[in-house]
Amino acid sequence: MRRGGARARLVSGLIVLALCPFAPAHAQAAGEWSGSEQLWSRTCSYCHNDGLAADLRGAGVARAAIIGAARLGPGGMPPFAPSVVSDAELGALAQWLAAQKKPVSDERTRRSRHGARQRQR
Amino acid sequence: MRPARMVLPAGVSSAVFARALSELRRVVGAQSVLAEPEELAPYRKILIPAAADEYAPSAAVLAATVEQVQGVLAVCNRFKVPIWPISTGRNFGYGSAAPATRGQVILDLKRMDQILNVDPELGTALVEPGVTYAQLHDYLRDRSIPLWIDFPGGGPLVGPVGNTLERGMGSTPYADHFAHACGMEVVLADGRVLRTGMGSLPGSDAWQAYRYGYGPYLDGVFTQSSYGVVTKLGLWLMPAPAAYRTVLVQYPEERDLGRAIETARPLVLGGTIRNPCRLRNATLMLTALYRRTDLYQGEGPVPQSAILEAARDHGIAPWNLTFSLYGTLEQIAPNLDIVTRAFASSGGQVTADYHDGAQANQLELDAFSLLNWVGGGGLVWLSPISAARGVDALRQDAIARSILFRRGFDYLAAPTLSGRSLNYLVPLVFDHGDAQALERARMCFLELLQAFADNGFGLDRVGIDFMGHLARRYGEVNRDVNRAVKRALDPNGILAPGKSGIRT
Repeated sequence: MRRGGARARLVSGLIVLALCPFAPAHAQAAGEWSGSEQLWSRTCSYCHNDGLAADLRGAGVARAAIIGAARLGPGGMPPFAPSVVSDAELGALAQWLAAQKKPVSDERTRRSRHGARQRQR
Repeated sequence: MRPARMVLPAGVSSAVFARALSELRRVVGAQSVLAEPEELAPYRKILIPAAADEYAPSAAVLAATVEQVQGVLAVCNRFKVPIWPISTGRNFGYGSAAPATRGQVILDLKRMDQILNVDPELGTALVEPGVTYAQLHDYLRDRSIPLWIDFPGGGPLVGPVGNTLERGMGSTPYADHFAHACGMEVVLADGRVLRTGMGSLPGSDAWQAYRYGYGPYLDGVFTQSSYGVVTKLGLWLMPAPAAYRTVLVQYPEERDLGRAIETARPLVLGGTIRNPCRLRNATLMLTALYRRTDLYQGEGPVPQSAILEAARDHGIAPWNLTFSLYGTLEQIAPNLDIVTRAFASSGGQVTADYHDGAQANQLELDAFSLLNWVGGGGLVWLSPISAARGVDALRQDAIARSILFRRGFDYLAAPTLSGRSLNYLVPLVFDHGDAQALERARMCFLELLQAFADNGFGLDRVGIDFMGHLARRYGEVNRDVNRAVKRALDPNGILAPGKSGIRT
């Protein structure tokens, strides 16, 4: 059974906007990514760290599998052309993912951010 | 997906195509011409109910400059090779990066990814085709420029040029993307470069400020068309409001759809609500929580009783309408009173504050949860248009419901009211890897398209597989005019033949 719901998407109080400082933006095409972390956070993590697809950090997925999935887009995953990301950048991403600790699922934090979407697997 | 053998453009011999590829390599560099089947795999993947082989490209050319685009078009004219321009190549549920016919060369503009200018005071931007919404969002954020972006369901992965040229929609007051575009640079098939509007006047600083310039307003003919390659696009960006509140209105009965539309329309036309009012039915809401097999393991659509039971468990109503109020806190408070009274008196339950990042400059890919409902990566959108009347919404609801259920599919719906029109968005999801499901989805889509059109509800956008079909529904005069423009601007018919059903 999954949890969450329309009510879970409610956020408390008024939302007043604030601008926060972040690292500088980089172009986001093959050969232009500043590193694997940016590639992950600005592309993969929208699904792979958000309950929509498996989290790949520390998951031990082989380099060839990462590159193959990125190019072909299995199932509902969009494919990524060589103009978007190079083989070398995908290889570095695979290495970076392997070096990450497997994240501990924090359902409470994730639900508060995304409410209804979160799944229990 | 197994890579196919090389695909030749129609009417082009392998020897001529080899010469064309050689010339293209001279223009963009050998590394920027992809012709091996495995290199082309990312351009072949489609979500729509069609066989990828029928829309397989023959090559892909990665251009990085306007001069390279001009050079590519010169080669294609010389060898009569058809070329299919893409920006970021997403177009999810409409054909992705694939061309309208088998054997076209993809002109991939992703490497043209410069944000050329942002004017924080005027709220304008000038971007190239490869810029994504994520890139533009980061640019504004890093420079503390208080402007918002408005993005479609594909969110961070897609870009403003491609989506605007397809006349895509978002979720904020700037949701009509073409209505908030201002000025284009277009490489014509003969290599000349047109700057529309004030961009044609040397010395003007109003290219991104005033849309029309002098004479016929041309920008529209370069949307959903094949009359040129857009290499720059001006955008208007929404000044970040001081505050916002996103409102959820829930209606307890399926028949309340018409009442919801009738209540929302005057609030939108009167300016109290400035962004689209998007309704979602219970099944669509549940895609964020479940896979369909969590609710039902049988054949055919999930029984409505199971849908409604799961919905009740999660506080989801048969119809769930959202919109936002933007402005200062002082502006929002009385407007919230107005909308609360209006919706409550029509039977809706009103709740503030609801979370929907798309209405508030927060990049998300929530829409992708749709693809997990069935699994297997099949998705095609129906987007019939009607006047914003409750009675029309109910007719579209009845058409979609009856055909989808009869053909064994779940009914997901997101009718969206924008101004005076209603876009009755219906995503049809299926398992693309199941040949029978794919064929059933294709036939279901065709029946829906025809039924909507027969009732006067024309789709405003369609996938590569039904472009010719939909163009025919819009009539002969419309087609003749489009063909005449095509012949004038692209006499060799090299640019995206078949796009929107238009050929020379």
